[in-house]
Amino acid sequence: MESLFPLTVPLLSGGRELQSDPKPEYSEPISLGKFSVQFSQHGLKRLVQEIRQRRFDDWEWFLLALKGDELSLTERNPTKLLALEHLADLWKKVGVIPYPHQIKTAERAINEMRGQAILADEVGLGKTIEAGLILKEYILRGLVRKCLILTPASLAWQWYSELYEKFNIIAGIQRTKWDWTYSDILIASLDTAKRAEHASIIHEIQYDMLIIDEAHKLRNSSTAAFKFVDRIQKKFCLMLTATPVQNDLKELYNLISLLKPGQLGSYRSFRAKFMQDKRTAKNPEELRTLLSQVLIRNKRGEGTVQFTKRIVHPIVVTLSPAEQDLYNEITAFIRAVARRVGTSSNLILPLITLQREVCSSFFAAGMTLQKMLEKQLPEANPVLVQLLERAVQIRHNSKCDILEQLMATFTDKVIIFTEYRATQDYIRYRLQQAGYTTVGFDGRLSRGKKEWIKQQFANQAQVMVSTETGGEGLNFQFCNTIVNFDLPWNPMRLEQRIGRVHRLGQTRDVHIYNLVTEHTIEEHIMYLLHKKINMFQEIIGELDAILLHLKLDRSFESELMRIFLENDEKEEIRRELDKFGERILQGKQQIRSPIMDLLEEG
Amino acid sequence: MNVDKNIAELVFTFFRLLRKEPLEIRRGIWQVFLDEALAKELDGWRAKERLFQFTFDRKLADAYGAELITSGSYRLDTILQAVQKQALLSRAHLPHDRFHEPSIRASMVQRLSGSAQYPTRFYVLNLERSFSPYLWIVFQISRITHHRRDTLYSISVHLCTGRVTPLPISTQLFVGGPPFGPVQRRVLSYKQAYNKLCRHIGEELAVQDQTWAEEAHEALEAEQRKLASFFEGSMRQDELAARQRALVENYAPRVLVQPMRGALLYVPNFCYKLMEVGQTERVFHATYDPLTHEVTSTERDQSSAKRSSSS
Repeated sequence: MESLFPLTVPLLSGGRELQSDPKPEYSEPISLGKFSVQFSQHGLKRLVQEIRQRRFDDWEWFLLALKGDELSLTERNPTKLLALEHLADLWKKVGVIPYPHQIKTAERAINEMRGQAILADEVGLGKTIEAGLILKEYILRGLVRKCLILTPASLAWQWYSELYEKFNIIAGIQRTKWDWTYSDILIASLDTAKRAEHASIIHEIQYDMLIIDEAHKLRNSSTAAFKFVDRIQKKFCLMLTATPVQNDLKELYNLISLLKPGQLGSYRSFRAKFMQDKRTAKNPEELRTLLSQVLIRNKRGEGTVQFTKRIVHPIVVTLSPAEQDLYNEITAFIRAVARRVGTSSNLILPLITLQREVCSSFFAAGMTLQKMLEKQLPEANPVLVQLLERAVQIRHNSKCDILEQLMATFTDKVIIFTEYRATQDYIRYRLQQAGYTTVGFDGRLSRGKKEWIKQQFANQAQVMVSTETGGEGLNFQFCNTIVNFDLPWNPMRLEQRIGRVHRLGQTRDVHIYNLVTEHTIEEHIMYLLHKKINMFQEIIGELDAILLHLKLDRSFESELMRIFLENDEKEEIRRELDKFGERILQGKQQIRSPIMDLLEEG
Repeated sequence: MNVDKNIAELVFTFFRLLRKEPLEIRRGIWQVFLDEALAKELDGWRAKERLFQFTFDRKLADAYGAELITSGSYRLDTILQAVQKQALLSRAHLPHDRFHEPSIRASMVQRLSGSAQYPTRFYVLNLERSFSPYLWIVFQISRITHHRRDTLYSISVHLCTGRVTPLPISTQLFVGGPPFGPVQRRVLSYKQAYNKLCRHIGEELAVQDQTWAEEAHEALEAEQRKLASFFEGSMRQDELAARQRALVENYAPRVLVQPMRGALLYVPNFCYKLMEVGQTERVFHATYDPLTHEVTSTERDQSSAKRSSSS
């Protein structure tokens, strides 16, 4: 069938055509008193060219197009945020409900702060949503075309999916040098971007908008990251951080001067006027006024958002004698090897993995034992072979038995988290045998498949068995029960698991079931996470900042392993874990600076 | 502007021009077949032909799963994008029969009699129907500070006389295509015509309310002062200058004028050959321009052209 759609070649440089033209040619500015005016020469050229070629289109289409122009301009001159109307349908589909504080923040950032703002909401209040909303609004208003989003590398994918799913903004994730120039909306790691070979390209580009996530990393003006960001040419800039200041007012000064140099004057004048000492502010009212012109901080509970409760259910699992024996033997083997090679050796990493897997399932541990054998650890070979044989012989899994019993008590959807794919496959097998419909979710899946599985889970399956790698960036607020089949050793990963369901948009209390095997390391991990730092019930907002402050962000697992290796007795381990827990709680206090009060009361 | 009514009108016209008549399958829900070309135009290269159901009512969309077309909706955006890509240049004429010629004739004679100094009678000897060419351009005027406000402004220029005038006649009265009949010879080049329109817009902007620019200017000056205070006593004066330049570039109030689409319009002329009978007798031509309601009279020998007052 012949198409009747009369496609024509665009003629004038209006609307999208102009946007796709990187450098529209305008006449020299003509000054008209308080403003200047420039006329498109590009449009003239194309107009004349098209008339000469007699490319006249149908008059009725012309009138329709004109109506389209009027309609789109009616839409573009709003009294409220355009993005809200544009995103209403999408948000309904994906279950996003913008909170009043997020809308208010976006309005303030655009109308009062002229697109230059530090978004310093407490953790969990949706700073990314606010930034996405502001970006979308500027795009709709035709003010932003080129935007750079700098994040920690681990959050790049999360940003990508948030922008795509919640704002229909298709961003690129930086992979090559070409991306800087050719990608209009680009997400990149700050660490990569600041490298000389990339920085030289970035500094040549005029960005309409720059968004920096985890901006507290730029509090120190002598760092390479600070200097790099300072040189980026940008019109609008958003900085996202829950902790814009920690111990020193200078950090606050640096961050704000990076955003808007001169907002707080020169450092000398700032010190004289606002600093009593580095932790105490002078003239707090005046400082607060200046800060409120560029910084927005929303706190939980104060007309913003109330999270539902987290209800923790520890489920103790007793291993069968055969399982317990094997567990003890593998643990003894790990200790023996670790003590021989030392905790700083490269070999310690597979041992940590093995120790964690053995708490998860013998299937997972068996896979690692197999791999270790294949790599031919010469000194461990005979024991490894023996352990592997024992692991293969065990056909019974006490944890899964308990899980099946637990499942019988659930009527609603459940997400079961495990860290290992072997365990994931085994759980799915057992549950399917028991008559449950399950879906598996992990990092191997493509973006499209993840979305499809999410839909399957929402509409059909009762159980989703997920590894953490698959959890990031996807939200399952329609479900309020999670089962931690095994416990991650790092509280950040635990928070990410819970965060899949316990987040903005969750309307019910969240039930967290933790399967903990008796007389194993898992007992100690549970003690640390639940009893000492109360991970499950509280949202430890600044957890990442705390771990960074304690320099534990990369070595949390190693620290735990060290405690387990260096102490044989249960009491000794508890004592060490108590100390470790205290350190984390102290860290929480330490990063809680009195200077933050300035922001909050403002 | 009633946006919702306009949206519905736009959507139905869009399909009508594609020769696709949406069928109302349920009260408030329409269905139309999208062939592959149209589906691809609306939904990208992977789209296939399909039946498309739409509604303008959110409740019906929720209840029956039809796509909602409303202000800000994805579907309206795609239709608007498809529509706005079309017909950036066109031409149309206003047929003479849109006007009641006897009334024009009577009005013109009355006007000429009124301007005469002594009792005079006028006789119409002949009527010639011709067309004047106009270049009509719709501009987008963007006032840019840290905000951006876009407006549409349409204006036309007579390609023979260079007179700039808004189009007072509804575009709906025009008929697509060139006219059947003589067209006055164009005197201005298109570039000259465009420049005349730009000059006119510049003059209009200069006399319009400039509060927006004054406010933006004050804000810019405040920013510049803050920036200067940051670099106070610093040796980095080059950096200060560069940042000041960037501030001006980013926040100085400015207006960008760009053509969105244009059309050649042919407006009818009523050119009468008249005889004046009074103290003396003479034959002359008078032309009535329905766009401006002006009557231009020309002596037979073309040497003593005289213009009557415009209405």
